Amino acid sequence: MPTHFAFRVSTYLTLILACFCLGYAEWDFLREASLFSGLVIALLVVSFFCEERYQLDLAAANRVGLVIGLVGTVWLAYQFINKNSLIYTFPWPASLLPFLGPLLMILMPAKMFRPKHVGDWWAMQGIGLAAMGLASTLAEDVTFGVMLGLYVIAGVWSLNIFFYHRVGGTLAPLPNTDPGPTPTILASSNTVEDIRLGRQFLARTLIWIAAALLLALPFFFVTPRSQGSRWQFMKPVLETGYASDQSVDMNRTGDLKTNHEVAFEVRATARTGEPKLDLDPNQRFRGVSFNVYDKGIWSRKNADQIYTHGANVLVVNASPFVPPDFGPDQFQLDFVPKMDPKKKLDFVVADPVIWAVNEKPPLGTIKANESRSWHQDLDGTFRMFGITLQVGETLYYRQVTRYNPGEDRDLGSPFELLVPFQPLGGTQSPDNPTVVARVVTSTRLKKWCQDLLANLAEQNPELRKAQDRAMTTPVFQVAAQDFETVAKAFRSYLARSGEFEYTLKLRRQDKGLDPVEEFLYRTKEGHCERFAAALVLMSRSVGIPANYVLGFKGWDSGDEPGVYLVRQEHTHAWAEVLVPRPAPVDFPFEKPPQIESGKPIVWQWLSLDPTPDGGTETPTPSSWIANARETGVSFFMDFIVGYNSDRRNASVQSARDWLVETGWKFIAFPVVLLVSLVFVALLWRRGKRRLLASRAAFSGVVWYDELHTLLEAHGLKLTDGQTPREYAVVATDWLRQQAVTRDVADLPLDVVSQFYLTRFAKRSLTSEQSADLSAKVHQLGDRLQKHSLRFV
Amino acid sequence: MRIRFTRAAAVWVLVAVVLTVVGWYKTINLLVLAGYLLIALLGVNLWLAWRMAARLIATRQPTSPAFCGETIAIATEVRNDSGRAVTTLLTDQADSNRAAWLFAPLPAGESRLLTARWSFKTRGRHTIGPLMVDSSYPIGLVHVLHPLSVDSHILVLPPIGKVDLEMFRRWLIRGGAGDGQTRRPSRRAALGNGDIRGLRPYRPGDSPREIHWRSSARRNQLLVREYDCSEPLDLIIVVDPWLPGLNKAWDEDSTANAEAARRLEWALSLATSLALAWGNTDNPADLTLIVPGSPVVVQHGPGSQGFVRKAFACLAEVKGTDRVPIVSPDYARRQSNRAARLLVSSRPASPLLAAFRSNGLAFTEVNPTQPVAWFTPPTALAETSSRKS
Repeated sequence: MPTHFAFRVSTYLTLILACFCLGYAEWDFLREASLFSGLVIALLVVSFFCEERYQLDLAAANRVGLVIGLVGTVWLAYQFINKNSLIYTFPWPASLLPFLGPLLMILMPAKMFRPKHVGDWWAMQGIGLAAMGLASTLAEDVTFGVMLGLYVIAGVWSLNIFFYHRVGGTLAPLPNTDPGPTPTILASSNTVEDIRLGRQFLARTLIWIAAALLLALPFFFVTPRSQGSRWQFMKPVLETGYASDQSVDMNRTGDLKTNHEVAFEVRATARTGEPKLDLDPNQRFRGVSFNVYDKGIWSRKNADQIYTHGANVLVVNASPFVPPDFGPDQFQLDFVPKMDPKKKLDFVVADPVIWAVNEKPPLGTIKANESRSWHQDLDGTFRMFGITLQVGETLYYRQVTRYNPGEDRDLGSPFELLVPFQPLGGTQSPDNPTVVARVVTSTRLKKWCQDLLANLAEQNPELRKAQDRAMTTPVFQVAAQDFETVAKAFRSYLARSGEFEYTLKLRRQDKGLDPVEEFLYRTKEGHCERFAAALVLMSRSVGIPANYVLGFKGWDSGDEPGVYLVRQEHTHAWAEVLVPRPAPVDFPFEKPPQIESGKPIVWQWLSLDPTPDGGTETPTPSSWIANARETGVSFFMDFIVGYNSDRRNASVQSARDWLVETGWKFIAFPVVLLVSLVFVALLWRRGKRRLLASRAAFSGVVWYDELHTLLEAHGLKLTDGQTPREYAVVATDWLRQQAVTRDVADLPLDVVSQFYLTRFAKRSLTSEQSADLSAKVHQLGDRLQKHSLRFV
Repeated sequence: MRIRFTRAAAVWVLVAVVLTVVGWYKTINLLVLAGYLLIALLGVNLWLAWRMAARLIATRQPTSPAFCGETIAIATEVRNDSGRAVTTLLTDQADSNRAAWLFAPLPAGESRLLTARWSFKTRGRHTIGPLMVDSSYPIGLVHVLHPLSVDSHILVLPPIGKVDLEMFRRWLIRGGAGDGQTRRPSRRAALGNGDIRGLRPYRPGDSPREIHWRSSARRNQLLVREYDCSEPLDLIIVVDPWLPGLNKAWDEDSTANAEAARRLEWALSLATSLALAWGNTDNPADLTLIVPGSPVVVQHGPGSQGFVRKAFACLAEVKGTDRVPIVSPDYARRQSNRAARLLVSSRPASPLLAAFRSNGLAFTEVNPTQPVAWFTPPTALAETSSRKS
């Protein structure tokens, strides 16, 4: 029987955890609610220590409750008046949710300081549960999951101890109800400390929770999921994933969470029709490129045409899709989007997009029996056109590309500029793509980049030449021939200098500073977005046209050969810079080519990845602890929080396939083993019962058994061959030697005499006599216990 | 076994359903899981409570008849016949008496003697139990109720009043056998408490306390006191449980009927109290109880307390009747001549009295309309006698 202390500890711990979880969940919405949770926790602690000595009477408690209610009402009313309140920021009525937190929390101490009956204790558990339910709608990260688990443990532990006190009649019953007779508590002799803290109850609680989870999880996993999108309560979830909107905010802070959702599936097929098994592990898939940066936000501006018309440009209504011929090394990639259809996902294609003048576009859409080529836009990008997708229709699109041996895989297709490239300064169209891609507003950044280039040039002769050439221009402008050298030097500085560190924890130290500049000057840590943005702005600062590209990098193997799964965790950002290259001999110039160093040149977009370590978003765990932690986190995020209909269907399918193919072998053995174990356990249990029944110690005469159990507990055991009377004589001698039991030393002999009469003479005692004898044995037990006597 | 869901369980299920539905509709998986977990915990509660309830066996200890208002122990041995400890509540009841025990816990293989000390307000056969296991371990949301023993019964004898035995004896002597003739019962000499009859020479074994020193000195020999000791007087009690109007419409609220019932209880209480007091003496005589009816109940034996409890158990279930009581005089005649015969009736002028006297049997009658000084009825019945007296 746990003590009242254990009951209070468990109850207050449960409530404090509920408050803490709610405060944690409210942090991103209503900071004052989080601070308020701290106050409530403090009140609960005070209540824990003061409850035994000080309690408000019912009237006073009601008055305090009234005051609290009025304050709460005024506070809520203020939120309606304040136009900047969350109520007007979030959609109604979900916007009220964060405001329920403080109201729920204040109910706890309000209840704590008043006289309580069983109903009040139930109500407080209910308030704790409601607080946790509310917190679960506001937060869903791993830390919260851990706290939720702790709350469940504390809650069940508390309910168990509450059960003892409720049934034991030590709590005031519900008013106007028949509480029944107050039971006599017959507790076993556990150590005082265990009883005081209810330790053994906590251990049992863990077993029950494990059993409940074993019951609940299968139902949780097989329950069909609603088709609605995952609830995020308008919270900007920072996770590895493709931005659904058309902008990137570098001002975001917080811990970036890993999202394992599959974004799309790629089926790679070689020209021969065989699955392509050697897709580059670091294959990038570009989504959208951003060319405008302002105050930490990347966005896209449609610019003028960048190059002259080739055969690909403005291919409208080209149906059916006919792939270009890129030679024997070409292969095709079929993209199947896997994301929630309600979430907007721009089409992503393998980077770089290889195309050729006078050839068909390399991209086309395939829908049922219809296929259509994409057309190339004015700025050089390809775009789907002419196919309307109906609700529920499946669609995939195809890209034809190649890996040419010896060719730089980061380099895009060559083209000629519509207008010859001009250095910075002078009058230029603000919509000229080469101008848009060089805009940097921060003079401090320009100065910093020039200094950096000067530093880097000290060890690199080519860079020194490039710097010298740039110094000759009116505004510091790197010459076109040095674009690639300088941009790669900047990329190396960011990725390999060791000054910058990759992390998923996004921090801001000085919010008055531009986030990219803060990254370069102060924090020097961040994830791929910051590295890519830094490289773009650094390149632009010295006059190199550069864009910010958001897409994916890497893949996981799919179920079939040649099928690759690209997940949200593969999301990646990098930079692309415009670089001149000598034109191929047969390049079909439409205009007089631009000449550099006596040779006609063409322009190409060069992808540069400045993120250290190649930009893997999920560092590999190095120890088994880290592995276990990573597995736990993945399980929680993927199969608890992020478990949706897609994942359910995939899991069910995987489980079914595994079961059909090989799993039954693994299932059959444990099942047989389990059945065998159950059978053995049943046999063992039956044997144990028989043993108990046959043990001489248990005679079937309760007061004799009680005496025997009592003496045995104090070290006097019935030896083999010893008759009960001999045993009683030994006991009597021992009790006579003890001062505190001398007056009751004959009790064992009396009990054994009665035992013989009952057992062998069939002269049963009346209830009264049995009760008296039993009472005497208990009194003897109390004395032995009190003086801790042991037979030696 | 019977399963009972508490009100808390209903709220628990409601909360679980709300969490699950809201969580499912809004795709908040933590809420869905919390809802399922609540339901699963309810299932764990049910399973454990079920298991606990099935692990105990109980044996009632024999219970002797009790007197009305007397506190008696109802003892039951409960044994945990399994390999695991049992935490459960046990409840027992009889009439308005209720008792409960909480095993927290009862270790495997051990047993406990549960003793309920109850008293009963009315005579009759009272049902005890059944001893119920009310298992709701570990959270108390679901109760599994399981009777551990079948119903047992206890006989509750009429309530005990105060009897002044010496006054009763004098009353008997004064009233004779109801025929108006005072009789003095034969006495024999004895050492011990009683009236001093005379002195006799000291014999070895006599107590020195009984030596009459003044006379011994005068006669120059040791003389001891000799006492008169009353001859143990057997007692024959005939109870006439007359209760009018049973074959008419019976209205318990009727004052007349209630008064008649009280008179019957008074008579039964007197008979029982007298017998008990009779048996409490140092040298009790035989007792005979005769209750008319079909068949006639005749109990005869030494006037010990045990005999009274056993023999007068028939009075526990006596129901009044308005039929003419018929008792063969032979039942009363068989006893010794040194027997005092008492007719305890719930009405004046019982026809039994006339029947006995016509057969030459001297009976003294006592009835509630003529209260006797040697009997103080128990509190519950005092109202009647005081009103009548």
